[in-house]
Amino acid sequence: MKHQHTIAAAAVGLVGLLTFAGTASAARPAIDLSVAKAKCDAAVTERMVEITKLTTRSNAAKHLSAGHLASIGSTLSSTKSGLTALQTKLDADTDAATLKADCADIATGYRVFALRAPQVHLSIVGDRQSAILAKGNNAATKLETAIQKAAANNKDVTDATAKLADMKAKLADATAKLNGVVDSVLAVTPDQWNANHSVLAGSLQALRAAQADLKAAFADARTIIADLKA
Amino acid sequence: MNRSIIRATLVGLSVAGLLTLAGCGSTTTSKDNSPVPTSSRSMVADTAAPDSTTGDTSVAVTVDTIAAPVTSASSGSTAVVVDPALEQALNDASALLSGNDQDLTDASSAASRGD
Repeated sequence: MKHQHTIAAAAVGLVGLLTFAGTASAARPAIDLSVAKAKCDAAVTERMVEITKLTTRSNAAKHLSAGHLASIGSTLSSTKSGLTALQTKLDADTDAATLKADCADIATGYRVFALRAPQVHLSIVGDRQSAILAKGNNAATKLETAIQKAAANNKDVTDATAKLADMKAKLADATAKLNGVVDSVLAVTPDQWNANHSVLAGSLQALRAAQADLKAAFADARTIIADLKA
Repeated sequence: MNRSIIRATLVGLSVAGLLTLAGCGSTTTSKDNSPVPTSSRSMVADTAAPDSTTGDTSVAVTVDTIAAPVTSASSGSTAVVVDPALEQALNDASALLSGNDQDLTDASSAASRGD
């Protein structure tokens, strides 16, 4: 929010300068855009720092698939080069109107915080959930075998069997929720976000639901083990 | 007169005979109805019974009760069939799920800036 205000303040300042310039006589000195440019530069720098963080974060995410990592790397790289070019352009701007448009483009053209950062985090979440899901399915198979052996030893496995059924249902639901969600997240562009600020909401909701499913599934697994040991 | 006496005598003898028979029957019946034989079977079933099944329901229950510790003892071997690596896998999954909670928070936090 603070950052939005910074850019907005820079834009308002530019509007004031434009108004002032429009009414000034030809004898007036050239408008000094340096203050506005400094604020715009600061906004670019802040985003460069965030991009570096996101790059480091995604490279360290060991469950992120190679394809998704490559997609994120490509997006962050092009965002960085685009902002670098934009900064060069706005530093060279000589009229306030152009500077105002370029400065606004720092946010609207790249959406580093509103879109790119969530895309990286949600992709990491989704791929990590896929890894957890694989562990869950493997655990369910082993638990099923354990329950069958316990039953063969005349142990009452009624509760364990019910918990296993619930675990499998939760894992199946998580699988459905995760299907294609990361690809969907990564496909969103700044223009799409500008047109619909809730464009990631459905994916975020799906990932949260999958997270809840996985937690419940693993809670079932722990209960089953406790039952078998009792 | 004589006939009357003879009839009365015969009736009296018949009644006496019936009473005598009834007395014998009563004694026999009381012995046959004694609950002792049933009680005796029950005792045998409860004590000897776990394997010599008589089809008696109470015996079956007794067998179950006696069998319980056996099931309990076998549960020790049941724990062995649970893959020891499984609990480690569950711990790993829990750590990953915690990491996801953090990333979901970070995603929401970044998105809330709106720029």
